[in-house]
Amino acid sequence: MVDRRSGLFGFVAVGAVRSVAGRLARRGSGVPSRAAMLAGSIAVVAVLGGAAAAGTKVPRWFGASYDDRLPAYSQFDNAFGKLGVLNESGDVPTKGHPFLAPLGANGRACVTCHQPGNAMSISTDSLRAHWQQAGFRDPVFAAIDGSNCPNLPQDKRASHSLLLDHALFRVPRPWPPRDLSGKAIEPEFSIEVVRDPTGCNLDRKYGIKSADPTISVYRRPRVVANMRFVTSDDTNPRAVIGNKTGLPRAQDPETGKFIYLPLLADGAQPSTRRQSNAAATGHQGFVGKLSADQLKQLDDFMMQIYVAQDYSNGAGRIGGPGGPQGLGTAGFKDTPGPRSAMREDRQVFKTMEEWRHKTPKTPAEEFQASVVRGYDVFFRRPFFIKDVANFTDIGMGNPYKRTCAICHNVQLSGIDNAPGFMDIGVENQPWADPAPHLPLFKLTCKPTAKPHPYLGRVIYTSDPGRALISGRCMDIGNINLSQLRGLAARAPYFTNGSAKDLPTLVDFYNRRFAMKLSPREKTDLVNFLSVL
Amino acid sequence: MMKRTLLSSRATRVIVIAAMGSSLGAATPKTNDYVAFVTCPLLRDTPELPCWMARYNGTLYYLGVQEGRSHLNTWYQPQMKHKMLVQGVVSNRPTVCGGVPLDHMFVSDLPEVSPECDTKMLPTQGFVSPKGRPLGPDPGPVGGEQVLRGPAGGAPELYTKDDIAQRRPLHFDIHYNFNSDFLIFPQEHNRAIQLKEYVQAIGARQIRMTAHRASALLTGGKVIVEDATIPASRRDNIITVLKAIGVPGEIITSEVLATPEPAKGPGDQLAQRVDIEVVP
Repeated sequence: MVDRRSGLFGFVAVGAVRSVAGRLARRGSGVPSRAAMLAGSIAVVAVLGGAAAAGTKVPRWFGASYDDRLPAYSQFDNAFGKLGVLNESGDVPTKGHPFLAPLGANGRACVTCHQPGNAMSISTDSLRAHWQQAGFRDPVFAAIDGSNCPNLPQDKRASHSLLLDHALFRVPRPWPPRDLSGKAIEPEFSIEVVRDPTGCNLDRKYGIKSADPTISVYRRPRVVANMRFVTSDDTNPRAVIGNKTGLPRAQDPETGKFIYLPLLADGAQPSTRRQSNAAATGHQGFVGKLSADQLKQLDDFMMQIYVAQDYSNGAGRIGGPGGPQGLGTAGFKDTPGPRSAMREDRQVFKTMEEWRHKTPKTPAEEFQASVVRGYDVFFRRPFFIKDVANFTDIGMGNPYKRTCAICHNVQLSGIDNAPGFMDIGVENQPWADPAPHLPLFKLTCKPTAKPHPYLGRVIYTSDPGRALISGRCMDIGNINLSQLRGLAARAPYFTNGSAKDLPTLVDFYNRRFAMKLSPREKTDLVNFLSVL
Repeated sequence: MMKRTLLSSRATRVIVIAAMGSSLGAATPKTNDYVAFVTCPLLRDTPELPCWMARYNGTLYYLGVQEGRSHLNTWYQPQMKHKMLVQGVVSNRPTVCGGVPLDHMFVSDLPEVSPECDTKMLPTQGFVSPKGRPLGPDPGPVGGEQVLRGPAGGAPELYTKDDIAQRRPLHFDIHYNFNSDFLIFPQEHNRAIQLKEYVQAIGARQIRMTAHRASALLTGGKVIVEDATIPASRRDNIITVLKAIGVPGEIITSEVLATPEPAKGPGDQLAQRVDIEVVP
């Protein structure tokens, strides 16, 4: 039963409410006081349903402590309509909940960077609005990773530019890489900092030549929802061998299970439990290890929360009776997962025939028909997928003529369970969009290493991706592809935030793979992506 | 002792190739000539599935149609930006996609990047590719699921129920691309899994491995040799895989043959292997 009580999750006018909490917080140490949180909570309730500022609909910020519960169901405005957030287990009280309440010393909770209104990720619009309201002392802008580098003056906007302009958090990775047991791996490549606009990679305390050598890359938070359609726990011995590597898949050191590593862009953590501990210590300043109860609460929460666009400004209501059954938060019910869905009788987002209007009679039907055409492009329109490391180099040929769904193949999430590490060119030159705001590294692989299959042994990249975990030359720039739900609520896109909106996202693929999309196909694709 | 040499088709290949005349050095290959060459791949974008092709000594060869990567695929397809080693016998079949087919063909894409192999696509020119895996969504269950249920890649069962009942020794091999230690999916994955199942079924007391190093005699007389590190790397990788899927490491013994197998032309690719012998 979907609870449509959206009362406590209405929308606030940007700058009208949080300023109270923000002002109170700024008087203190940088961590919002209980009084500030309470003031914010009261103020939020007082302006339910308020309009967003300046024409941009920004969903209400979910505070780490001043919201008393996450309702069973809520809706959040975005530029394309409304995002639904469904919690299968019903209302979840915030107090003491390890996802919704702070765990460590810096006032952050998991929800701080995984906002319900942003599809359990975060958007630049939300961050900018929150900066205006709460200022630099708000926990989301914490120096450790909410600024370009902890050594920068934290009260300056410029010190948080990667977060505010690109929704990127700093992700420090040890150098040399370490395996899952913490043992150092001898990398197959050397790394040189060519450009360091944040100053962090050459910093004496935080950089590659510090006492604790670290490489800082900057990445988007991944969606913590729909995890039943993202994570896999396949213990079949026939699935032990990775079909991309020809070697055993990674092994969870705690359970011994062979795993698919879908959680992070670089697969750094093997399980939600390990990731929960790493996030608590790395992002929240938590000291020690989370208790078994906390870990179970976190696991349960991640598996019970779903996000999807539930209302489209163009198409109207999404999901439910009469509409495509794979869309909307309701579409997740009664669907097993994760499973490959690159086939006619089990499509990635199920059939959308309900919206295939031959002669649309209303603007809504026109839009719905466009969505279906976009789905057809995604699911059926072949193009040549070329020079994608960890995909076109594993026996299917380069280039490989297929459709978007060959990679975005898991039903209802659109993630890849192969797993989805690959280099489509988002980070590595020459395909990456210019990104002078990001660091640039030169990686030189040893002559004995297997080269990157298309870039060889000298590679320029803004993020080495999986290679910072595996130490392998052929993994440079490999990034785990992300799920496709709730896109309307969480711009920008790609791990480095390089696509500022959905048209830019489509343009990247059109350019990268010479898809030759017509203007109508581009529009159709954007419309399709906007209803996911 | 029972001896099963590679895929049954490969066993046939040994016999067939041995009976054929070699045309090493010949300019214009004739039917039944063995050819081996290193070149860039070409791709013809036909309306259906694209055709992989190769041009050597003025002759355009047809290698195969794009197949994807499922239980149905029968060959490891080449890559633009990489050279490939093509070994095969000139067929008397009609041309396909404008190219001469090769029988008993084996294609290895070579690991180093070769930018000059970023070749332009061949025009369609009215050619039609053979039927194969559809370009859009699959009409039925995807290959991955079938791989989980049974033998893949057309690989025959390595053993029979009677072999298990009689606890017979088993001898087979894992095959690789030239100069590669990559365990080919799904064919060789499936053989590794069948090996594990046989070892468990008969309670084998030993697995003996011998890793080989191949060389290849090219048309024109040049010989190329796999890197010296390849056989050990293949051996290490397959042992890692076998342990992961449940084969006790303590029953595995191994030997690496660092000296390349002599290049003789037909059948050279059969040395790209690790021999495995299961001792009851």
